[in-house]
Amino acid sequence: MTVGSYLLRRLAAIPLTLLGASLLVFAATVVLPGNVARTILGREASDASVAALSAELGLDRPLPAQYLSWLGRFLTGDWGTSATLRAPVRELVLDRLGASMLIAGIAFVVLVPVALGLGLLAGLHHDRWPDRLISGVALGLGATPEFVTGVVLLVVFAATLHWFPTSARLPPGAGSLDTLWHLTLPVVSLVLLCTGYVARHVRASTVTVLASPYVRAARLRGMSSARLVRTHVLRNATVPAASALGVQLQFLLGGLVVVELLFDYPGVGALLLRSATDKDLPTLQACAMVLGAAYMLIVLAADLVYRLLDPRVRLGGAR
Amino acid sequence: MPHARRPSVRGRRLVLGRRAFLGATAAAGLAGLLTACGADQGSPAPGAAPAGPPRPGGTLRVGTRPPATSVDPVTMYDGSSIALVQLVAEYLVWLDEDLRLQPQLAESWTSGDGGKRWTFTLRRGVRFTDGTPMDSSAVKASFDRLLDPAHKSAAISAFATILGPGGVSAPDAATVTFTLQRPFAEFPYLVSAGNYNAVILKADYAGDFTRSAIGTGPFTLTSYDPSTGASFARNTGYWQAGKPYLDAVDVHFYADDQADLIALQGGEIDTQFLSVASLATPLAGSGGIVVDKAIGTALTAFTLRTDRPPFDRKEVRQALAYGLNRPDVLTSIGSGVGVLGNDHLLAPAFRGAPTDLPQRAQDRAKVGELLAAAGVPTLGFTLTFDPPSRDYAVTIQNQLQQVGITVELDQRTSSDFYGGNQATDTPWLFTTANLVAWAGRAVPSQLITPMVTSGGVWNGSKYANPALDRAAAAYDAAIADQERAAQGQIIAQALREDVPVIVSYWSGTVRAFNGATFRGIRAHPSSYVDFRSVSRV
Amino acid sequence: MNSGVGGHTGTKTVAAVGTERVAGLTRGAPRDVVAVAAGAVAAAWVVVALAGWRVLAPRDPALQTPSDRFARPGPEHWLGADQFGRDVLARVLAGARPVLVVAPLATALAVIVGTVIGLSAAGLGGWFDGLVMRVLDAVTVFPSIIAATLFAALVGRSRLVLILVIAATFVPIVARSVRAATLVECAKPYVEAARLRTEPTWSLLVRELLPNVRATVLVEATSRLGDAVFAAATLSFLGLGEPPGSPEWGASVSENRVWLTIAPWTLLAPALAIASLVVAVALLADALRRRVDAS
Repeated sequence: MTVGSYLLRRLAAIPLTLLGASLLVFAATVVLPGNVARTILGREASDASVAALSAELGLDRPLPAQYLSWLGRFLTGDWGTSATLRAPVRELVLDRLGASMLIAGIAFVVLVPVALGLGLLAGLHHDRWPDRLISGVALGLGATPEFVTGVVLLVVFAATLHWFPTSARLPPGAGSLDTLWHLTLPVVSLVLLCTGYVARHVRASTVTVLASPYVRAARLRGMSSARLVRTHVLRNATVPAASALGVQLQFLLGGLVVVELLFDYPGVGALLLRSATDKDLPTLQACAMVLGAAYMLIVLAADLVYRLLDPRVRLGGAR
Repeated sequence: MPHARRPSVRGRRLVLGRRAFLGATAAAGLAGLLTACGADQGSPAPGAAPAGPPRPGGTLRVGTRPPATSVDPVTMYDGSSIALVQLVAEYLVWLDEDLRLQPQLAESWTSGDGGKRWTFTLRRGVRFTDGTPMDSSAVKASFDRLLDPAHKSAAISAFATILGPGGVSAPDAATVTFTLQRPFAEFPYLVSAGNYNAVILKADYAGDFTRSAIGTGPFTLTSYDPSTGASFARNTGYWQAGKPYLDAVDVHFYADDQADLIALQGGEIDTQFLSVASLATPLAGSGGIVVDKAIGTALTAFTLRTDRPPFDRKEVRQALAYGLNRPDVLTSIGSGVGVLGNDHLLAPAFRGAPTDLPQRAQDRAKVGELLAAAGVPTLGFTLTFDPPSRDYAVTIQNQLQQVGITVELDQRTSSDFYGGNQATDTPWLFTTANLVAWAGRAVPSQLITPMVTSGGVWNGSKYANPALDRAAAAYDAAIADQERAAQGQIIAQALREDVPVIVSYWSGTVRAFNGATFRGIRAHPSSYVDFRSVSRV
Repeated sequence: MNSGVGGHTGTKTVAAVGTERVAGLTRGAPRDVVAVAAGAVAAAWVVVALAGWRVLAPRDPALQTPSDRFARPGPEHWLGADQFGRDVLARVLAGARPVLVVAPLATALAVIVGTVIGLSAAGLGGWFDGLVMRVLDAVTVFPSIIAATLFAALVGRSRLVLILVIAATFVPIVARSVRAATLVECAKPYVEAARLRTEPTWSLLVRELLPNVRATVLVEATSRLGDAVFAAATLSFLGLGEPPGSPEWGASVSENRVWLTIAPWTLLAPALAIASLVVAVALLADALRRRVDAS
């Protein structure tokens, strides 16, 4: 199977999957009682007022009609208006998505060299103290939920030492340096979460490569370690890391909800949680759709990169 | 946790040994260090402002929860929205920190016809920020809008049975007359800030407040983003000369109360709109944080349905009332900010509140007697509430457990708790026992009429006592203080005896701010905002 | 390394071979100090959860003594007291049970359902396998935490919802893993032999294949367990978990964030408890995986 047809097949599956997800999300919103019109008007507004607003918002129509009408408009680019925020959903969600991708992107960019570097270091010194230190700390931090590390970072470095702001929210017109300063703590939380797994993968493959006949022969021929690392080890040990990085991406995205809440960052994860609690359906669906699409595209990209880098793996999977 | 696929680890094992051990020791050491770090609670706050005239200028940064929905003065009900509007728009009468009426857009008022007609004289020379004069037509339009069901304002219930559509007239440009449906001695409170929707807006206000917020207030809205915050600038044409002192106010929205306070501790904001007493009070003194306190008429009503078991017997309700340790509740939940409640709705802060009713206190023996008398030796019930009342619910459960009463907690989301149909099934008005938080009110009628009169619109206890109904009506009509006090006494005694609602304490409010950078920030019983006198230190 | 497998397949049943394989994983365990330590920590928490706080803690975790508000760690309260005067040590001990009820149940559910799906998909092959793979692909729309957060927020907070939601997000992972391992087995001669014997499919799956993928299932179970503790703690941190007043660790961390400058013990104790449990389970899972790979 060629790269092209594999790519097409995977891409084609995405919209159908998103459709199924949107149906599931819609079904879940009707499980709990609660009406967004009441949230808008408050508990002391009369039933009549709430009923009138419900009618205006189209909430009194039968459920399938509500879902289909939302779907129809969504597909044509009209993502509706947030009932609680009274803002057009599309701008709101896409803005937030960009903000979230900024943090995720920076975290990823930091993660790659850090994890590769640590893994290589651990592998090159395997079974000596640098390896044990790195492997141990990596495993521990990777297992610890990001809200634990995040809370400690927040309260120690921000609230107490004042080295970083307690809120990661970017002031308007912030320059790159200012942006990085604000985003340091949330990015560090995410990186701490994901580094361990990747580093340990890289370590393992480094160890394997170092034990391989080629490397042994090269050493015998007198090639220096540094040159070996640069020309051979680096390439061969880091390719498997691509799959490990791909796996970590889901934790990077998933960690966004907690990190955005902890560090007060207006991203799509925080909006998802808030709109789910408020039962603000247009916003919730839009967040779910963009997050789902982003996740599936990222997974697809990671998968492709891995398969392209590793020619031994045939596309389409072994059967 | 990153283990979705098996890594192909060949060769050496990962032996951690010493490393893990050192790691554990380090963690213990860190804990010890941080325990020691919590030591500096001591240094007293800067407290009293330094003497000298206020310095003009400066930008005040404020933190608050995001508004529950888009900000519209006509329909708003949450503290953040109200505070945002109060920076920009004003009332006929302001309600200050001591719950006294202060003329604002109205200079004076008189009553006639036995309290059925009220005439307000407007302040002259006041303009809206777009230059339009503030006159009686704007005032009449503002109140007509509130009374019109099409605008769905909660103010309709505040005016129910008192003022109806068509009751507002504007005989001349500086006079507004309200003709009531029944005599109401405390009517000025209903057109004051105490009725928070009653801000005066232009006659042609079309409902897009955040885009073009035009009011007469000390600040103007320069930008608004529903998820991040808002910015305000000084209104240079404000009618009070020399004020406000601040150049600007920047409001940041924080997802929850914890984040808000952490930002204050971190120096990112200077004050909060809505400080939570239990969170803010312990922080007073650390890092320059000052916590100002105000008397309170806010409460969390512990409502019991009097029309079904187990609370259809008065003795059972009284048993609960005697089972609670009120001073402990005030300390734990209210952080000591407030006064004890005596199971009636006339808070000590209200004029004419009774002063000689014995304060109910915990009495375990009595609990047993009352339950035995009611034939309910073991009592268990479900308490329903929404997240803001969670701590109180847990405390109630804990305290009643110690007198042998089992409480099961049923926490609902706010939208569920206040959702449904108000006439038939909404949890906050129909569950057997529930907790409902009420923000501070200006006058007791605003609580008594809806909550405990027969057929009151928010009567969750379904309490119906004709004697109380008569006393409540007489209270409203009583112009003389003595008469009002007498009627208040009757109401209080009836409520204290029948206990449809348990009031364990009246909470004061607090406002936390950075005393090293700003002064003049005061707490307010209803958490209202008046930053006209705030200035830099 | 298990040496028992290679030369004896002719005389032992494959079930016995599978058992030996699992036994081989624990052989030599005492030499791996870290795994033993991790096992001890995890076991300690399990004991705490089973015994309940009554056995171990000096006080009732829900008892509020306002006079003890924010008491520092000392003889009265070993780990200090919180905002309501509740003993922090008691709350940390009591907090073990919620997490150790939800996480194992969710894991067990996910492992059972996932194993059934993966095993049958690989064993039956053909269109069924194709369908299962498509469905599994389709349900991985969101990262697991986001899916769990979304549905817990919508459907409501209760332990049952938490268990179902967490289990649902793990089933695809377990199914894929078991399916992959089963496919490896299917290529082996004994399966071919069983097919030639026209052994019924269910028998093939349960009697022949399942024992041989037991090691994989075990590894998946311990890995998912760590993930489940992680997920349960995160969801309760977000306010979507246990009922109010519960001493669950994630909720405790969230509620006590603001006290770090004046009462750090209220925040650190539950945070360290979570960290110790997840790290212990992770180390165990890791040790188990290494042995499986080594065999």
